[in-house]
Amino acid sequence: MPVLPQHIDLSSNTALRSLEVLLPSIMWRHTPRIRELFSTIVSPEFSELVVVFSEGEAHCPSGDLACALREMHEIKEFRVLFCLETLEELRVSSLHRLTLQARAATVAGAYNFLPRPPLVFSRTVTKYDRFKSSVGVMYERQAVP
Amino acid sequence: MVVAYLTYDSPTLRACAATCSSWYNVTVPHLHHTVTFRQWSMDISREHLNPLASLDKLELLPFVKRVQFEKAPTFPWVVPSVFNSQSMQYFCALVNLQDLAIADLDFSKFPVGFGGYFGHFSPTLRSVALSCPKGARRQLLNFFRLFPKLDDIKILYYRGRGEAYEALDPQLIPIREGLRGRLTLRAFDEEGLLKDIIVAFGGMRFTSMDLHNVRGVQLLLEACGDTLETLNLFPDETFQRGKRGPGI
Repeated sequence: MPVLPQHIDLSSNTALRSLEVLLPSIMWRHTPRIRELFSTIVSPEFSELVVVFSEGEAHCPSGDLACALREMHEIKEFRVLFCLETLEELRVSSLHRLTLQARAATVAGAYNFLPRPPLVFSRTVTKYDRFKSSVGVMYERQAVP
Repeated sequence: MVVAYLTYDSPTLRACAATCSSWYNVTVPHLHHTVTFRQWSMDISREHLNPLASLDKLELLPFVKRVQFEKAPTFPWVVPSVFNSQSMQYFCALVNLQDLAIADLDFSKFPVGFGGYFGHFSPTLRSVALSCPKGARRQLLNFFRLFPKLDDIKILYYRGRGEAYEALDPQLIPIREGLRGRLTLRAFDEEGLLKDIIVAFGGMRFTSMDLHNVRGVQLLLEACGDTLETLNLFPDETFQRGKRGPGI
């Protein structure tokens, strides 16, 4: 059952600027734990939440996600970034689809509680580094205009 | 500049390199950025670093920035016998190596230490990734201590360490003022080892942490209280079900 951090307190992290979570971690059934985590953030630098999509999740479930983000935003203000993690090569079509869906959700008003609409970017993980199969991450941030 | 975005797209890089000499010169550092060693049979382990010979012949070894030893199907194969004198000649020619990844490194296979095999990377190596390392706590720490310029450390297991690291010598002297940069841990359930790492390296000053199912998260968060800028939480339900107590 427990998926998200329990008993984690970020009040000692006074320089914390960014929090990254996987898409499934932020959806409805885990939202309370994320909310608890957010309530412990005291860093004046905190400004962004990165929602990480794996390539198989390269779509934006705007309803539930926007709802979860709205709840968190009520606790702490932040900007939202959607990160598409791709294996080895960037699948331009996946990034494009995610970008279009994020834009459509923004136009529909799903993110009107945010001062700025979510920024979509991608980063590449190598085959060896891919988590589940092996190691960590090698980043290449590629902002989408 | 555009070519840099193709680092992971080898077919396109090869096509670029075949276009003309100008494109070749721009492309070749990216094309040979990563060298991966794989092993399928114990019998040929001594020949396993042979790909370096052809890279050496073409004077491409200085372009290699990342070396990764992949997991063999049934046995740890990164052992001293792989690094014979000829292999070491090429291995030492990787003068710009910044990133080293080794799967299934068994420290007990290196009774005289690692300096003779990996120590020459110390001036340039910035990132080390160990997937499922085995051995004593002191050996793990000594391995990291070989590389004073590390700013990216990854220690990853699939389902947790499973066995306790031995206690660390309390007299171990910190080698520098805190580890910096980025830390990635996955399925890491040795909170005691984290404490020892903090002692051995004189603290932690990581600015970024990727924590995937780690026991002792709060310890890490507090150790990096005034430096941590980015926290990545990638939890895994499967691991949690099989483990006691809280984690991510």
